Amino acid sequence: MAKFSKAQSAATAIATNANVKAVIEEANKLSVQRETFEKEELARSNKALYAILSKVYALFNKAVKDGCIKETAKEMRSLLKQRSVKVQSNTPALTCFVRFVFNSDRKRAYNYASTLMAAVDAEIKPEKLAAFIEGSNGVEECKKAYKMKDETKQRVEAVAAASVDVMDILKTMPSVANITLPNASVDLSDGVEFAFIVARSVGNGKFELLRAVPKSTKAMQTAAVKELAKNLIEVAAKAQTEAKEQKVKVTTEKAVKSISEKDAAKMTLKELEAA
Amino acid sequence: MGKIVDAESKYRPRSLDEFVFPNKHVEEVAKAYGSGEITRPLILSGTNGTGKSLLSELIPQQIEGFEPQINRVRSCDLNSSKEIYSQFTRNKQFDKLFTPKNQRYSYNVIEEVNFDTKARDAFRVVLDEYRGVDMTIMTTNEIGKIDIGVRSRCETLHVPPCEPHVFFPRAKAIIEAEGYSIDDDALMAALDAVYDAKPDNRRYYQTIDEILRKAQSVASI
Repeated sequence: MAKFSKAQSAATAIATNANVKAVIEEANKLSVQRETFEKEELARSNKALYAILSKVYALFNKAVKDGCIKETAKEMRSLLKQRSVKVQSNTPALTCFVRFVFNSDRKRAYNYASTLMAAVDAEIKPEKLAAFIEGSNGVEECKKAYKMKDETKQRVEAVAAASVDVMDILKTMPSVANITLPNASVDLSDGVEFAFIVARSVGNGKFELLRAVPKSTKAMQTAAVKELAKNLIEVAAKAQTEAKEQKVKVTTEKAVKSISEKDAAKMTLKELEAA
Repeated sequence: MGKIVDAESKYRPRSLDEFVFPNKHVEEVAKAYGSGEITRPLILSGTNGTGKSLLSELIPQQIEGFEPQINRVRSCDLNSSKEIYSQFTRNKQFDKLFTPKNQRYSYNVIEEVNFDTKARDAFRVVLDEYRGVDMTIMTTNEIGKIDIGVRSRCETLHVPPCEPHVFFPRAKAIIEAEGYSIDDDALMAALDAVYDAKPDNRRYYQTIDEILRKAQSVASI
């Protein structure tokens, strides 16, 4: 194979660099477009979706109020059948409304219907539905919350309550130590209140503090507080178990102190044999 | 050290009449099985240490009036149709004419059915086919994991742990049978504390053992 001259190699390298640059520039533009889409169009489309869901919810409530829900659901089911959309007899009436309006696949209908069910459970009025979905971080999260088992729901609620306690504790607790780290300016964005230090754990509760994380975000703080909350719950549960076991010990001891041997004269033969 | 008493085995109920029922409903259903009123397969559900296994032995005994032969099936052996048929199916005609020890039923006891068997269809079939010939009793900690079709073929009896006041007469009787008198309030407080820490009948027996052991230690000093 013929060898490239130095000049040819340099020219090829320049051309390649120019191509790479062009691709990167295009990718950057796409990234900006994506950002705009997420900020504007997606948000706008979500708002539009939430508005439609609110109207479906309001329409369903109206049908209930007017006393025609049974007939409406029956009619909707029959019309859906004509559109080749099968609706089972055990499908909730609200899901039937969702399927009728969205005519979408089963999974989407299920997600939207679960979101509306979550709103029903939370006693949200149709006009507040959009705010409710946004506050719950979207349709997907609403669905998850609705489908959560009672046990999981209780656990999530306990962690949420303990997180509030943890924040209060962190805000008021005295510091264990004050140290200065080099080049440690921290950007606290989004109303974040705490900074994060990376430390090396050396065992026995000792840590070597290494660096301050330059930026603290809401997500970091939420994750850290959640872990502290879980720990708070675990410690409290352990203390409660220990207290209960201690009570068993104390009451057993008291029972032992209250015990006395029966008078042999009053014992039955069976008791005498057992004793 | 005092004499070790294993109250749970020493004072193990030998019949349904001696069993400490946690409530009226459990007593009524268990006795209805014992008298032969109910012939459906039975699922005994509840947490550990509530007497499910004991009931699964005492019910057949009550039906027959003697200790019957019981086919103990391991729940891990219910994973395929082949396994199920080999465990349950015999010659039905033969079974109708002859049961072991001339028993009214052939008994199958399956403990710890805490999962949905992969061969649920075969299991449903054998439950249907051998009804009236077999008496199948299952115990489980997780009723929700048992196939809905299997559940619909069975009577499900939830057996909760005994509350302290329900277990109290048994505890007192055991202590007295061992030759001791005990203050009622002190014994009740100990049972209450056990129930509060972990509702489990076995823990009541363990506490009685501890009380007796310590009482004997004190007496021997």
